[in-house]
Amino acid sequence: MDISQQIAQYIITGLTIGAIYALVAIGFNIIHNATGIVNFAQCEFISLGGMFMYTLVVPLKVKLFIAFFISMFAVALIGALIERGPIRHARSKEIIILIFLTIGISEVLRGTAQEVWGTDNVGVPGFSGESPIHLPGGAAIVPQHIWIFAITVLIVLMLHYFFKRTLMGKAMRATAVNRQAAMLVGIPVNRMVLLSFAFSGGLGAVAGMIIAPISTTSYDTGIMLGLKGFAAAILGGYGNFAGAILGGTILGLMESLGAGLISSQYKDAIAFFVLLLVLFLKPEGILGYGESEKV
Amino acid sequence: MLVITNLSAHYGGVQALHNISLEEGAGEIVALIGANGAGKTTLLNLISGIIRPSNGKIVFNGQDLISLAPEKIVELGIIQVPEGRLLFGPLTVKENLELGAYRRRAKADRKKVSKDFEYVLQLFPVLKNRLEQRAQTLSGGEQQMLAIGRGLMAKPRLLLLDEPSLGLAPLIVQEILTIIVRLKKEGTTILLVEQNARAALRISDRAYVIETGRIRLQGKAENLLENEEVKKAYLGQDLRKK
Amino acid sequence: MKKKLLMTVVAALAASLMIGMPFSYCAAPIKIAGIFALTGRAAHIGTSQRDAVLLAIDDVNAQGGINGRKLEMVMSDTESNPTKAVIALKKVLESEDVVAIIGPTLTGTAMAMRGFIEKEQIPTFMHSGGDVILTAPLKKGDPSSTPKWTFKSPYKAADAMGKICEYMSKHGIKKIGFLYSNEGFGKDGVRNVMVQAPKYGIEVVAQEAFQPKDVDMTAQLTRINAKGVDGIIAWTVGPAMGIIPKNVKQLGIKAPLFECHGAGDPIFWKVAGEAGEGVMMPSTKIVVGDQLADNDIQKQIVLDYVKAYKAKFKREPGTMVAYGADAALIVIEAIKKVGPDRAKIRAAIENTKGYVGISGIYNISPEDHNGLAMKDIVMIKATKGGWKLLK
Repeated sequence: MDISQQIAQYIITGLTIGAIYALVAIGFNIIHNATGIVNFAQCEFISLGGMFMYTLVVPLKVKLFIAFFISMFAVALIGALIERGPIRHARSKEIIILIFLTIGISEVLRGTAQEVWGTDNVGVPGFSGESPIHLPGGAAIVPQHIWIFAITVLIVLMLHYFFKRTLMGKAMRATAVNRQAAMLVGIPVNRMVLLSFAFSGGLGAVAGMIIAPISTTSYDTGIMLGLKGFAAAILGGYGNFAGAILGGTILGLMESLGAGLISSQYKDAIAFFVLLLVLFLKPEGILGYGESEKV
Repeated sequence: MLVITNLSAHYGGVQALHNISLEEGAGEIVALIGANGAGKTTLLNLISGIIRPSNGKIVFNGQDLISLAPEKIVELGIIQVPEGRLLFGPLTVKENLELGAYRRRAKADRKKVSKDFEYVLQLFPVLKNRLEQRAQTLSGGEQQMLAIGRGLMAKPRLLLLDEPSLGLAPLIVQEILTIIVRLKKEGTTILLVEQNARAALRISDRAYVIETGRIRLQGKAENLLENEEVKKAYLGQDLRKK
Repeated sequence: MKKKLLMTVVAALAASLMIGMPFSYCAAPIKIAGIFALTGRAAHIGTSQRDAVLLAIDDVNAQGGINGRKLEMVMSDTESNPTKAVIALKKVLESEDVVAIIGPTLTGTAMAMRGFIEKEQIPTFMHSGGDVILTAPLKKGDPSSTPKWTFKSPYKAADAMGKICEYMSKHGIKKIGFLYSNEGFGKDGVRNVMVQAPKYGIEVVAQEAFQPKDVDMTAQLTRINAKGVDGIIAWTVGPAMGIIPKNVKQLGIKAPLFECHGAGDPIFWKVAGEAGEGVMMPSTKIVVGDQLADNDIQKQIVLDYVKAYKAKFKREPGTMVAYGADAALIVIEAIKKVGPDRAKIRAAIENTKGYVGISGIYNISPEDHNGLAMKDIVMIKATKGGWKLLK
């Protein structure tokens, strides 16, 4: 295997993991833009997506396709309930308090998941088998990688369409820009916030589901992916939609190229260093520009 | 059309409005004049449901507005064009106008909405060439026109205009005032908050003078224009110019 | 008449109380501490080991306890985290009078706890895989300052590594890559492979690390594969045990894959799925009891234990269970012999000779706080959702 083939492999790997980070980062951004908070329960959305799908597909033998949608909507519903319950009824609306609240919610969800599923990691079958595919460049992937790309791209396109072309999507952006102005044109702001939590839940669940056949899943898989996704969001510019995609991709590539070409022992350190460097040079993130377009 | 009785409101523990009573009939332009911080904007936000009064009543066409959600108040046709415009800056001009008609997104309304869209563009032709531009890139005057346009997209029955002339060049102010008069002629009821008291009184039917949260004077606009107290307090600059 | 009825009721009540607590009524229980990774990345190991210990304790109590006193375990969770492990340790020692400790699960947590254990002088039987917990000096620069109070039940990683290398050299594997999780156990593996591999004429041409929670190791494996290896050892426990075989298969790597002596567990199949087929590893006999030769003195003990475990927990035990069980059984044996006295228990454990356990035959001595040897280890191959004993 020559070096160009190796690099092709590193890039493919980096892009796959990066796609997951990007989905998680978008989830963080959507809630941030609607409410101004960092929702740490995002990590649990990922774990729950994976575990719901595992439960439906493996012990309950539900068709994968159906299980995918059931899990996605179930976690979206959990996201909505988090907003409708504790977040909306929190006595204090201070951002920092709400963030701590999401940490608490996150602990409760994880504890519950641990009670329900135990602590074992479990595997989920690939969406269409696990026989490797050899790409022209010399890299090898499994069909799940194609699923990860395809689903991520599809979701990004759908979100783009939703936010740019539908009135509801525009209303969500408007709410993010100026809550009071949104109220004055008659946008039901609370419902937009509710929707943002449901979206984030669904997105987190999808990230957890599409990675599960590769990484296996457990009640707490979401912690690491969630934190990486959070880092990706910051790297790209917190709150910025394109930034999330860019940040996720860069982080994924840094990790895999760093591990492959420099040192696997320091790959996280390398990625972390790049993150710090970017934030040092541009504290608002690569595509962050203060008060400008969010979502 | 709009009847406010004994309205009081608190803002962070401080009483901002004291027993305000106010009336506006259909087709009128009523001006609220007063210094900065007198409580004019608070009053508009109370009507729009953004903040809640501690006491009093707001009734619109026989319906009590207190405890109605802001979006329901918009649905009744009470539309506020807020101070400082509060546009959706990163969104395009077109998107801002579309969102103005958010409550009218039912299929049946679609035709009427696109008709109103044409109407707004005809009213403010400058916006026509800027539809795909981000709202934050417009000049101050254009932004004010867009803000009024966004308000008109909701098909207002009562339009609450908060400082529409704030920070604009005299020529633009004139243009905006002309449009307000035109809107009245076309049947819109207008509640106008202005610091530019002279301009406001000239185009209004009646006016209320608010001082530190209380109504100090009220009457026909032309009478207030001649009132010595008003002249001294709010039209002073103009006097000196003479 | 009424009085008689009342007396009967009182007598019945008293009797039922007596039956309900026959031993605790007579004497206070003997307490031991169980410190396991019940949550976090090693939770699947910690919970297996906890169950194994619970089974051993229930067994003792069912037979009447130790000298009429019940044995009780005070359980705490390290959350797979060294700092939390030390906190849990201090908490249990402050609040309970325990005579011995069983656990912890991970090498990293064990290393963090060692110093405190020595200071408190409490015999501790660990389940951790890494040898450093026994060999690393407690005082810097003083190689003789190895722990007195710490023992470990799993094979010495050096022996497990040696077993793999022995197998490899028998099958003509000469150039290998080593893939390890970048924490205590994995790093311990690096030290061991560099010592063991040359002994068997094997060259380690690549060493690659990954983070314990990483979800993809294709970059590391690509690098290893580029060096033209004919064998790969992956030294880790946790989900990576399943991710690595998947990645190997994805990359079409032909070199056989070996994993550590913690992989022979049902969890392996849960995380690896079909990709697990053909992976080889050193293991205790617990997962291949029925394939053992009839003259193997462990065979009956292993089969009986598996039966009891399955009856109680309704699932197959993995290799980790053996380590948990042996630690508990040796500690219980020591308490039975010398009573609830920390120093005496320590001495008794250190004197364990020829103890036929599930993992092997323990010959513990002051020089060897593990007591197992390479001959106790078997090589197994993951085959069709189960395990095949390799000859």
